[in-house]
Amino acid sequence: MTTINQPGFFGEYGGQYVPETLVPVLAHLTQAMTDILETPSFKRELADYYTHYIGRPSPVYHAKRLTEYCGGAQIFFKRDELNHTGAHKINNCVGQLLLAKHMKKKRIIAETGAGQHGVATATVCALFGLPCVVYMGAKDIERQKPNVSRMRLLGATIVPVTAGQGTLKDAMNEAIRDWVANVDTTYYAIGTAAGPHPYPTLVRHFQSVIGQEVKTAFQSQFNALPDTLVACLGGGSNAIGLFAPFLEDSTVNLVGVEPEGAAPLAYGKPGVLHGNKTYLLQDDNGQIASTHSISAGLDYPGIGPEHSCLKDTGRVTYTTVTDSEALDAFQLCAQYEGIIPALEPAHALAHVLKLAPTLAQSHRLVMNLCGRGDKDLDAVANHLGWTA
Amino acid sequence: MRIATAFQTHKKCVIPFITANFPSREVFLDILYQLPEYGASMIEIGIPFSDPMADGPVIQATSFQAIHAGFSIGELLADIKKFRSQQPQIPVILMSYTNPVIQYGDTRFYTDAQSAGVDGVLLVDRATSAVPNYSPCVADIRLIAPTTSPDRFHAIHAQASGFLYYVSVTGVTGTQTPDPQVIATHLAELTPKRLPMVIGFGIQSVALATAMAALADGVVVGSSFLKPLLADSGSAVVQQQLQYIRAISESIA
Repeated sequence: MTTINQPGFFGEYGGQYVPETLVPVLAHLTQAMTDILETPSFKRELADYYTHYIGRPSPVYHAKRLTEYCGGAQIFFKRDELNHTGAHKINNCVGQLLLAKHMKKKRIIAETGAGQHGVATATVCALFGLPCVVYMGAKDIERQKPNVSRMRLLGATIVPVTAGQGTLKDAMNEAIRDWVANVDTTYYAIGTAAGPHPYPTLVRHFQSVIGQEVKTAFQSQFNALPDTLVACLGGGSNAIGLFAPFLEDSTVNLVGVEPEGAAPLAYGKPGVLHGNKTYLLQDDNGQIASTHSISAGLDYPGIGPEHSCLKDTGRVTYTTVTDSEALDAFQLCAQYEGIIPALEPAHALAHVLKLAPTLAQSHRLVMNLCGRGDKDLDAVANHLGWTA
Repeated sequence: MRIATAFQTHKKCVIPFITANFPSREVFLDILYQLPEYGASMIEIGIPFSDPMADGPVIQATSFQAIHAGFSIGELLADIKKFRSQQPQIPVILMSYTNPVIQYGDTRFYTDAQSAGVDGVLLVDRATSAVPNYSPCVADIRLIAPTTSPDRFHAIHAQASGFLYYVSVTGVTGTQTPDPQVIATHLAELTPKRLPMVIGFGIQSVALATAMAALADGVVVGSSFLKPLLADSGSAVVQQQLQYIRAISESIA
């Protein structure tokens, strides 16, 4: 495998494939990261928001009834759905917007798929008193209505994107176009561990709190590492956040779960989209392919570049589940644990339900329950044919 | 060589941009073959991409239309080869995003482009992560943006060949009106210049093209050239748009 020894590359993946206009602003952001992230005052400020605003650390919860149901590995949930705003996305938003404040940016833009990153961005913008514009695919606006209302209430402007399929990819294109036109004033808060360098590294930095908390909880409770970690993948931010602190711990199995209809690691090949080289679903002419997932947050033809590298090196195993397997897991989680997961982590759970029965009862498996499912109730009711 | 000759023979170069196979392969070829007669001193052909992040609504729409009708790079290069056999002088520049090029195969792309008679390639999103330019005979045209610092300008300038393409606005193609005074101020900082420089993005009228041409060695006219063809690609509109190029050419010559 080609290794490019440049910052911002993960093996041959990542990089900075952007129009010239964005080069200085990315250099500025990279410099700000280096100058600010590790300073005691920034760390103190971030830790304070994590504790008192988001409600971290989130619990590591032993899902006993699902463990019994599966009859194998002990299943634990990392409860990031209990964060303020209901998903892991806010870990990254607080971090990036604090950075934006230090960089004296006056306006925040974001893309969103399921709406969780949009809600988290709108929330932190309200907290910091910054104007917020969220780009969202027209199809996603339709299927994630509760989050659209939340963003409006929080004071964000929502721009519907009808180009392409009207999903996350198209929202990201439009956000980048806004950014190119407003580089001086505007900070683009990317919600996933993709995009041009330094975003994949920046987002991993803020999401790694997930894996670090799992490590700490296991050390104090079991004096051991978990045996297996499972997370769903759209762009891959919750997964890299869970995995990153364990990459060097070779005894820990890492499993990423893609939706069958939007699985670039399973069915794609390397290419360049949204500023980075990574696995992409595309045709022979290099045109990006249509995707379909019941989960708006996973409905994306690309993947964060570090995951592409981790696939090639074999450190992480990537697999897929179907819409209907995710829907089954969604219901089972509600009925056995009294927890309504988002459709995104329902994909991770669908794989856990297959994997856990094959493992010994002494095996400890942690799944990132990265979001709650209130936003999905209408869509799920439709799929299940429930009538009001 | 054709590029250098074009800059020598024309006081100012007029460079129409047309998305390959837009509005259809037939009309595209018709326009391509007629452009030299209407005062085009070079032709820039866009390889359509599904996710053109530096392009505004017009170039997006033309790209989607061409992709939907089955565009392929192999067919375009064959068409350019045929065009080249009849038009030995006029430079042809290909503009693309990185992904279509690397899926075709970058070595293969530059080799085939050279043998088709392509004079230069501009990859919009190459910025700092370069695709190696495997053919020294194809010029490596680079963008300079309003945000480009003098230091960065020197670094790009050292790598580029053919000419430099100045992006007239901080924004996407065809959406904002550039301000000649702002550009003149920035250009004054970017010296010395070894290569010719052309200005593009947002040039929407003969008057604006004329004002921009005064600041550089040529102008690229894309969105405003293609926009009327989105609504009607009949021969009357084609004729009208060719006359638009001629009017620019006559105004800045």
